[in-house]
Amino acid sequence: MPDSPHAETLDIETTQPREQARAAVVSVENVAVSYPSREGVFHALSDVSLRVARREFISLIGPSGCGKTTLLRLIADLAQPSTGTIRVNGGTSRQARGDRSYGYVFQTPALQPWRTALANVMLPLEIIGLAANERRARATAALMAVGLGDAASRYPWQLSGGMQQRVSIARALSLRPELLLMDEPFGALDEITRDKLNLHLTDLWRDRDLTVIFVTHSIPEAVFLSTRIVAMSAKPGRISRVIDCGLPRRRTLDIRNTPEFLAISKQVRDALSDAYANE
Amino acid sequence: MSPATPLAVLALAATVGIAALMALTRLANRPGRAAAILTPMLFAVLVLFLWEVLTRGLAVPQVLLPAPSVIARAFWNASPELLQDVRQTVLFAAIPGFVCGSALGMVTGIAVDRSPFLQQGLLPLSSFASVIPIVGVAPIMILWFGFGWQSKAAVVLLITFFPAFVNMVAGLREASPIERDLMASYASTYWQTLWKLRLPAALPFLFTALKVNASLALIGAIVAEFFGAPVYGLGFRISAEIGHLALDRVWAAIAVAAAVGSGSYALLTAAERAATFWHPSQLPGSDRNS
Ligand SMILES: Nc1ncnc2c1ncn2[C@@H]1O[C@H](COP(=O)(O)OP(=O)(O)OP(=O)(O)O)[C@@H](O)[C@H]1O
Ligand SMILES: [Mg+2]
Repeated sequence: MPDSPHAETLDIETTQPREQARAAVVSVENVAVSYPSREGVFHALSDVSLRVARREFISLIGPSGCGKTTLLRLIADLAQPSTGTIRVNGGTSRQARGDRSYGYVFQTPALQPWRTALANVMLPLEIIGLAANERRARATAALMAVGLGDAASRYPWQLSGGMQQRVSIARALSLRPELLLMDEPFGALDEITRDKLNLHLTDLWRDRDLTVIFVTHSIPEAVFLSTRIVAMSAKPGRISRVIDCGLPRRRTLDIRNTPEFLAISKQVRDALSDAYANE
Repeated sequence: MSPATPLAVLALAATVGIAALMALTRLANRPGRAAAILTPMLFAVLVLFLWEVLTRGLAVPQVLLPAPSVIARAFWNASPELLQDVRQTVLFAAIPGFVCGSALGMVTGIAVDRSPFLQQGLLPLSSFASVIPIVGVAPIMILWFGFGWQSKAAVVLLITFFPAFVNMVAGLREASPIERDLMASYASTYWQTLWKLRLPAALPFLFTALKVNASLALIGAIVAEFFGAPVYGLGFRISAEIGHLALDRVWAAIAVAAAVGSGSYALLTAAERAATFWHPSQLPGSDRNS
């Protein structure tokens, strides 16, 4: 893989995110989002606070409509909070977006059908005005990183759903962001493909010192990937519980059979059934 | 002519027609490119043949419908004039009007999309304006721009403006919210998003507009000439020759107009296929079941 400048910084297996004191990559403080509705005001998010430190992997999990996507969009400056503040990398979310400091993976791959896989990955690089040869080199490297080096010249409709989602991850990685925002990226995939991509994602996260905020509906997926799991509940959308997930940073799929894994899964499940009980 | 002749002709035409149609049906069901090209051509030959046999055998008066061979002869004899007619109507009126009208419509579409003020002001107005039968303004255009090609081009411009405008406005709405969010996440500018996402996504709409406009332009240019023109032009030819009851020449002019129309349509369809090869309607397999 040509572009792995972080290869030598592979970490000693830190287990616990003790970085709370350090400058947060993302800090969300007392944020609320409300929309006018027929019955008065609808609270998509209410009094949400969350600090995400560097190299954390945060999963947002909760019932449909509890505001996971909304929270991600606030951090990405694709929507604005009604009240509260959001800081990204110490600045405003607007500045962070202007600096292209995050990569966003959407719930659908959202590939442009008139572009090949490679050209799709080059799209953000065109927007930031990178030279053509540099664009090609970086996009090729990003495609290789998700294991799609030989699908570069294929069009989206010639790719399976899993491949399309990997192209969209490569596209998010091509800007070399340190923060990755992912909204149910594997929601539409079968179990086995999902396992493979999960494994891939932890490797990327660890090897590249990424900070990831990840939305999912799957408890095993959340426990497998995360350093912290944020359980949310709806009406109003809020954080109901935050569960530390002290598994080693280097993970393989077998970890899912360990007692630690099962114990954390149970905690998440309990938190979620409380959230669903409130429905 | 004995009374038996029409019956004999009808019987012959029916026999040949049915036999040929059965043969063509079998050909059309054969896979492959050759069959796909050959079938419509042979079908056209069949239609011409039946037309010829029926008009001659039933002794249809020429004023009602001349036989294809008569039209072909008229075409051959009048080809220098017809060529000049095409030049006048197509090159000077239809094409400039089509290009300016379509371009102006598309640019206005972008402006309306860009400006909320124009959106509120212009969009309702335009739906009113689009129901005006614009060919009716041809006499006014002649008053403004004279009898030459300029007035015809102006009519064509007015006719082709609205399809281009309406389709651009609709096409720009094609890009989904997620695709726009994606561009926004790159802090892409309005023009970058327009160029890299919204215009490509609008292409199928724009080609629909261009195909509609191609035939509108031809119709507009021809009809506008009915209201007054210099001594050539397809529309002029049709209205002048009908005055002399030279129906074979009228039909020859119509045939030329039809040829120009289907030629431009074929050209645009080819361009569309090349530009929107990625669209579901163009992907292989999309036309197999329809
Ligand atoms: N623009 C808007 N106007 C009104 N209501 C909105 C708007 N955007 C989101 N909502 C509401 O806010 C709530 C939270 O939406 P959000 O998409 O964040 O949920 P989610 O947790 O991502 O759900 P899912 O798991 O189904 O994706 C939903 O009830 C939704 O209807
Ligand atoms: Mg969502």
